[in-house]
Amino acid sequence: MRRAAFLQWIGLLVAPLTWIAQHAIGQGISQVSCSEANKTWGVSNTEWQIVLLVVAGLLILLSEGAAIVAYRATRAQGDYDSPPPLGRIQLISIASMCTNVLFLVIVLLDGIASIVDIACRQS
Amino acid sequence: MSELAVPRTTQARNARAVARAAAERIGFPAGWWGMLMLIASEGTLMGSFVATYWYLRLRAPHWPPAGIPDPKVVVPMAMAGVLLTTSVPMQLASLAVRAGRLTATRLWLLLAFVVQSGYLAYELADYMDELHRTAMTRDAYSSIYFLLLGADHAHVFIGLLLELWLLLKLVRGLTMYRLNATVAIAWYWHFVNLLTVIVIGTLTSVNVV
Repeated sequence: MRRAAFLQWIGLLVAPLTWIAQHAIGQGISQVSCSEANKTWGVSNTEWQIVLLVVAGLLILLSEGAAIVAYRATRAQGDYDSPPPLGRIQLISIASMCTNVLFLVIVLLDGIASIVDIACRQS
Repeated sequence: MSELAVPRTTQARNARAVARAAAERIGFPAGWWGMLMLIASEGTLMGSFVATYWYLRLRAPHWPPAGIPDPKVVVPMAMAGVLLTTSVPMQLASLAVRAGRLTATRLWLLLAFVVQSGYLAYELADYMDELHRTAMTRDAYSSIYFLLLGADHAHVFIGLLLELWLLLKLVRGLTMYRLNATVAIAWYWHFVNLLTVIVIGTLTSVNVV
């Protein structure tokens, strides 16, 4: 139960935090790659955005895996109406399994747009 | 499993049993967690709208653009203040329901519902009036202004629907599900009231900042 209680929070929180980090770092990479100083630094926007996308995608898959493990570990013992912590773990892991898919789509859209879009020009 | 030895609080079916079950509860109910997640996601959505407003505003040479009058300040702020006061009856309803006081719960909810309905009726009339004078698609200012205000009104409307549903349910007595719903809806209204203050504060800040 203690392991499932830990995994429920990994399942719930890792995906949104990953998206925030990907968006903020991705913005930073775009800014850096377009800066005057980058003529000497040589930061490649496309390469770093791909790395960022892969890392973010893997973290969200990890988050989804944690939610699934937490759900399966407690499924036989009760449902989301059960007394805490069982009911809470069931509810949060079910919600996380759904929202992690949405966050994966958001991260993919964010990352692909950053790679495909032409940087360093007026929008 | 020691947790499974605790009886399901949702089995309580009358006011006294519900109050006792609520007092003996060992953690937050699923409804509370569900509402927390809803508030977090709605907060993110509205936060991005507010951030969009400030992004546009800080890059615009004139805000609001020429030809658009400054937004009104006194009446919207007063109305937001009125809405904010409904957090009091909502919290009192939340406390009353946990004590198993069904009549008091209904009365506090009804009081809040009347005030909140009055607020929404006035605000919708004002919103439509402003829409007649300025098109939503006129410029970035108009778009974000009506989006922010409209999204806030939508949250108030959804809150009223939740409250109406709850009042109708409470006519048939108190159960643990209805107790959880009352507490969760009270949390929703605290969020909506805070959101309204932030939205109105943002939109009227033109005259101050």
